[in-house]
Amino acid sequence: MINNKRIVNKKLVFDYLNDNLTSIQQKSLEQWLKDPANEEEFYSYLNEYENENMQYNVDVEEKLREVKERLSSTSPEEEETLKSKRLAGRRRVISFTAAASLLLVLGLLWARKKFSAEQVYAPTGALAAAVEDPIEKVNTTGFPYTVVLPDNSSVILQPEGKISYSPEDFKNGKRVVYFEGTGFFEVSKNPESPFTVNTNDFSTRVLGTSFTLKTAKNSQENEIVVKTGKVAVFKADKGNGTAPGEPVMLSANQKLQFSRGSTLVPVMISKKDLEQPAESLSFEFDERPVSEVFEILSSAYHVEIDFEMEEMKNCKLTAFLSDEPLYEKIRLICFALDARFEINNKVIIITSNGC
Amino acid sequence: MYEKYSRKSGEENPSEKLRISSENEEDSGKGIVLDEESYLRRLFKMSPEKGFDLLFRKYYGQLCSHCVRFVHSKAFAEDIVSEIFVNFWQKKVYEHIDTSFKAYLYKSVRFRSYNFLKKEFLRETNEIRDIDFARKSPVDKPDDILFYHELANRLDKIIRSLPAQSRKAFQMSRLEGMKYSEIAREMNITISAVERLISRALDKIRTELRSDSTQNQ
Repeated sequence: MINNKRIVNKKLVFDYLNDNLTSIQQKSLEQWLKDPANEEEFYSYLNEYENENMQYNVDVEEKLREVKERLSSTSPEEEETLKSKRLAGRRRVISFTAAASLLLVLGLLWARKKFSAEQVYAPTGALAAAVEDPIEKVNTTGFPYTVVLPDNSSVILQPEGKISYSPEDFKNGKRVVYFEGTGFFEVSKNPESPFTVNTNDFSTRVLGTSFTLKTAKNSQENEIVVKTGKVAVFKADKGNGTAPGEPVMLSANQKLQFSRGSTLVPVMISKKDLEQPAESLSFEFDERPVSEVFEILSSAYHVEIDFEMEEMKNCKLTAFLSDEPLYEKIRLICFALDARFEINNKVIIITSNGC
Repeated sequence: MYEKYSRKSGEENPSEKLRISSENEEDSGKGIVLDEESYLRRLFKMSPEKGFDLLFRKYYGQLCSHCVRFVHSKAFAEDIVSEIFVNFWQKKVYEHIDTSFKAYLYKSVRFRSYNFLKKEFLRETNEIRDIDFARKSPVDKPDDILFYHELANRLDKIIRSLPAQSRKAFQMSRLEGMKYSEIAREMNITISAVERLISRALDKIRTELRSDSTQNQ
C-alpha cells in the first residue's frame, strides 16, 4: 500500500488522462482509487489537468453575471464595474518605511550590510557542537528582516538575531532550527512534521503556529510569546545526562518568561505585549484594496512587494491570513485575486490581469 | 466576528486599532493544512456571496473544459456548469458539503454530463439499465472515477471515426453552436445537406454508444 502511494502521483494521473498508461500502471491507479481517501487528490490533479489543457476559453465574468441574474436581479452599477476597462499597467513598488528612509541616508552602505546578513559562516559556542555545515543568517542590519526557511515558514528576525540550520535539518520529516536573539516565527502547517527551535536554554516544538522567541542575553530573561496555536517548551538538555523534563504547553496569548535556573510558569498576556506589527496584526481583510493589503504586509514583514498599481487598482481582498507564513499569505492572496507571484532576489513580484 | 480597521503604514501605532486573533485559539494549532479549500470555506462562512464569486471564478472555466469532453457542445457545457452553481447556491450546498468544493464540482459535472448524454443518446435503451445507473450514480463508487474517463474516451473515439464531412458538420453545429445556415455557407453545401450530415452523425453516435454500453454491461 505504501508502494502504491508512491507510484500514483500527479504525473501518473496526467498520463492516465492522456491515455498513456501501461496496464500495470492502470492497475495501480485502480487500486489507489479504491481508497476513498485518495479521491480528493485525484480531483485536485484533474483540476490542474483541465487548467493546463483548457478545451476552450469561456468568458467567466459574463457567465457569472448570467448566473447571478438568474439567482436574483443584479443592480445595474454592478454590471458597470464588471465591464470596466483595464488600463495599461504602471508598476509601483512599496517598500517598508524603515528601509526606504535608511536607504536615503545610508545608500550603498545599506546594501553592503544587507548582503552581509546573508553570508554563511561557522557558528560559535554551543551552536557549533550541534550543527554541521549550517546555513546561518544573522541580521546585521539595523532593522527587522524576514527569513524564509526551506519549508516556507517565515521568521522576522530582529536586529542581531541569528538563525541557523543545515539542509539535513529539513529532510526526512524533520524541521529543526537553532536560534538566538528575538524573532517572530510563523510556521507552515504540517501535522506530520513537528517544527523545533533549539536555543541555548530551551527548545520549542510546534506543528504550525505563530510565536515570538527572545533568548536570554546577559541578565535578560528568555521569553516565548504565543500568538496562535500551541507551543511546547522544553528546557535544554545541558549534556549532563539529565532527561529534558516535561514540556510546558503554551496556548495562544500566553507568555513564558524565565531565566536559566527558574521554573517555567506560563502567564496570560494582553496585546500590549505584542510589539511588532506582524505579531499584533490579525491580517484579516474585508474588501480592502490590495494596495493597502500589500502595504500592510510590506511593513509588517519588511519586504518589498512589487505589483501593477494600475492593473490592480480595482482589486479588493477579503481574506483571513492570521498565522500563515509570509509566502503562504502571498500565495493565498494570489489565489483569491487570480494573480501570480514570483520571488526575485527577496522582492515579491506580483502579476495580475486586473480585477 | 471581525472589525474593520484602517491604517496607513508608519502613521500611527498599529496596536491601537488592530485586533489580535484570540477567539480562534481552538481552530489553530490542530495542524490543519491551510490551502485554497479551507480559505474558501472560511470565506463562505464570513460571506457566502464573496465565497460564491471566488469559487465561480476559480473553477467555472475548468469545469466547462471538463464538461465539453462529455457533451461536445460549449453551450450545453456552460448550461450544465451554470446549473451546478445555481443549485450550489440555492440549496446552500456550501453549508453541508463533506468533500472539498473542488471534488463536489467535478463530481457534479461528471454526473450531470452523464445524465445529459443518457437522455440524449441512450433515450431508447431499456428501462432496467436506466434504473441500474440511477441507483449506481449518486453513490460515490471509486470505479466511477474511471468510468467517466472511459465514457469520454468512447465518445471521442466514436466522433473521430465519423466520416470527415459528417464529423465537421456535427462539430460546427454542436461544439461551436453554429447555425445550419452558417455551416452550409462554410462547407459550401446546402442547408438540407447539413441536416442530413448531422442527423447521420447523431444516429451513428447513438448506435455506437448503445452497442458499446451493451458490451460493457
